[in-house]
Amino acid sequence: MKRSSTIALLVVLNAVLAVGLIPGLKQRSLQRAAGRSAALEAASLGASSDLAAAARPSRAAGRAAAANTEPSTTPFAAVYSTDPSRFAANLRGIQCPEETVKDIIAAEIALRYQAQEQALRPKPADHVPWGWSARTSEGRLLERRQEAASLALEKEALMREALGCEAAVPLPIYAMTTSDQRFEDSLATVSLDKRCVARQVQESYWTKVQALQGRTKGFWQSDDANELERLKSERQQALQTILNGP
Amino acid sequence: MSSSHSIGLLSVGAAALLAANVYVRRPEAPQQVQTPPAMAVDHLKPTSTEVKAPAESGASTEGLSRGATATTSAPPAFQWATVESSDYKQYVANLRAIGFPEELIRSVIIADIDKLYAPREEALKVKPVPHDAPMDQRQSYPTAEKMERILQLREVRLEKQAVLEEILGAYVPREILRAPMSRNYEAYEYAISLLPPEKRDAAQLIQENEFVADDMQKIQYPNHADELEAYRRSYEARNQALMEILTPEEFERYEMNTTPAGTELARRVIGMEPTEAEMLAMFRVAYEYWVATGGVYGRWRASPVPPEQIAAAEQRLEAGLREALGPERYLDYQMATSDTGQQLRNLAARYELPREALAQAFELQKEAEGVAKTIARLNRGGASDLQASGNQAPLQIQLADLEQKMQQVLGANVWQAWQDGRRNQVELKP
Repeated sequence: MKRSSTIALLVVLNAVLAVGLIPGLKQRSLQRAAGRSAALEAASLGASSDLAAAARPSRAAGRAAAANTEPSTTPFAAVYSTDPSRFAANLRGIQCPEETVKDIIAAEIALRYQAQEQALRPKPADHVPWGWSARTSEGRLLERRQEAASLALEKEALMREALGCEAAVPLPIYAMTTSDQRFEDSLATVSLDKRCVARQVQESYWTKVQALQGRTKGFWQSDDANELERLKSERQQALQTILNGP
Repeated sequence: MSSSHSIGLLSVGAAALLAANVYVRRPEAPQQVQTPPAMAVDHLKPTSTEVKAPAESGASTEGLSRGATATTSAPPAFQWATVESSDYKQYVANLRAIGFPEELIRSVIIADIDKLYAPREEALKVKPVPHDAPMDQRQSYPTAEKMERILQLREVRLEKQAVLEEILGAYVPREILRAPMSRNYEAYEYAISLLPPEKRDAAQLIQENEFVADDMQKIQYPNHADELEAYRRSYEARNQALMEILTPEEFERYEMNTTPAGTELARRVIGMEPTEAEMLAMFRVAYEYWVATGGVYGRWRASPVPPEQIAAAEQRLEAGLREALGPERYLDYQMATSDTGQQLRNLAARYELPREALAQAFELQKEAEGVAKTIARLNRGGASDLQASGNQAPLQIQLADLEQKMQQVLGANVWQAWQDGRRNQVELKP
């Protein structure tokens, strides 16, 4: 009787332990999966050297490695951010030299604007033939020039946000005016701080002009022309204060 | 089986199950991130001082990891130094290997190589002149020294292009050579970009050689007639060379996009937004006109032509354009190529006038301007006041009538706006 009770007790104990093992095994399996994915993210940076090493023997191997690598698992994916400031910070975080950070961010921003820039790339009609007046009331020509300048300013603002206020984006030659050149020349001898503030004043002027241009659609009435003159005067005063101040 | 044996087996089973339960419930040990061997990092680290410590470069590790684990481990395992290489091809391979998109690699390498060549290029380059600069600054007269410098610049750029193509394994465009004389260089770059990639370099060299020959001839031949003859010959040589590499269709399109007969037409008609087919049809008519009025390739009226020949050519041009475009598009052409038409289009855009009203207003305004010109001519003609006013009276009535019709077409408010703004031409630049 005593032995049979012991056997029954042991059978029950085994059954309880066996049932108890099932959720334990399930939980364990989930933990491992989570650990792998977290480790994968962390390791994605570290694994890069192995990838780089694999690519070293030939350029073709490098191409293959890039092509076969899932975007989410590459070191690039780990440092990339759609926010250029964050992307720049991440690149600096992996000791990318500042000049290379600037090149990468500039290239990344340029790629974002590629389609718009392609539409605004200089075309045969944009050039003012020698002997022709630069003044025109042709809305399409003015629009293209204005859009190209605005696009450059927009890119520049994004670059400045990510890389500091020294970042500059050159205007396409057909959109560049003598006024732009004079402005750039006037900044050549002033401090970095003043340059940055002056650029903001210039950007603000063009933003307001663009709004005015959008409203008038190229047909300017006297009130619009007066408003434009007021904006020019405000800009001039602001720049004088900045550039001639202490 | 004896009961003692069963007890033994069940005891062992219970112990094993207990151990298994303890094992599966124990806390998971942190998984180790595989880091690259330090040797690899050291081996590839550039010796330059370019690589800065995060603190030094204002670096932040913020956002390095999108997953939680990456933020918990101190410095990230991957370091940029593993990508760096003094060999550009290796550098590109390394960038590809870590997943850099191909377009980004291309841009980064071009920026890098541009910087490398910048000091050599800057020393030879001429500062670009904006389109609104005074006429005398928009072109400079060629000299032997200037020509020597631009040829050196081309050598540097050819070298840079070759280096880039070698590194990237693909065509990389080269900035067109800008000679001292004013030309639509942007148009040449555009036209070359439309050619098949394998023909671009050859076409560009042929074109640039023609720029150089043309500018050099200005130095060589002080006599205009001799210089024009030399220009004709060098241009024909350029045509011959281009036709050897381009198909007839490619050549015609290239000419349309580069020769002043085509580029100036493109500027004049941009407001009508012509299709490629319309542009080609207009170019054919315009080029005939260009030649008939004394044009020699890119030179406007270089050979003297009698006025009646020019007048006849103008009539053929208008008739040819009307036929090529049809009445609706010909009206667009007329509006695009006149100040009045441009201003009326701007007015229509601002006040959302229907096309019908715009077309009517344009015809009325054109007629009114014609009448106003006649009145002005009469005033300048030296007739006595009495005679002039007698001739002008019906014209003044006609003008008033046309203006009234215009007011009806536009509506009172838009007419008022037209009167106020039609002559306003603003300068946006500060």
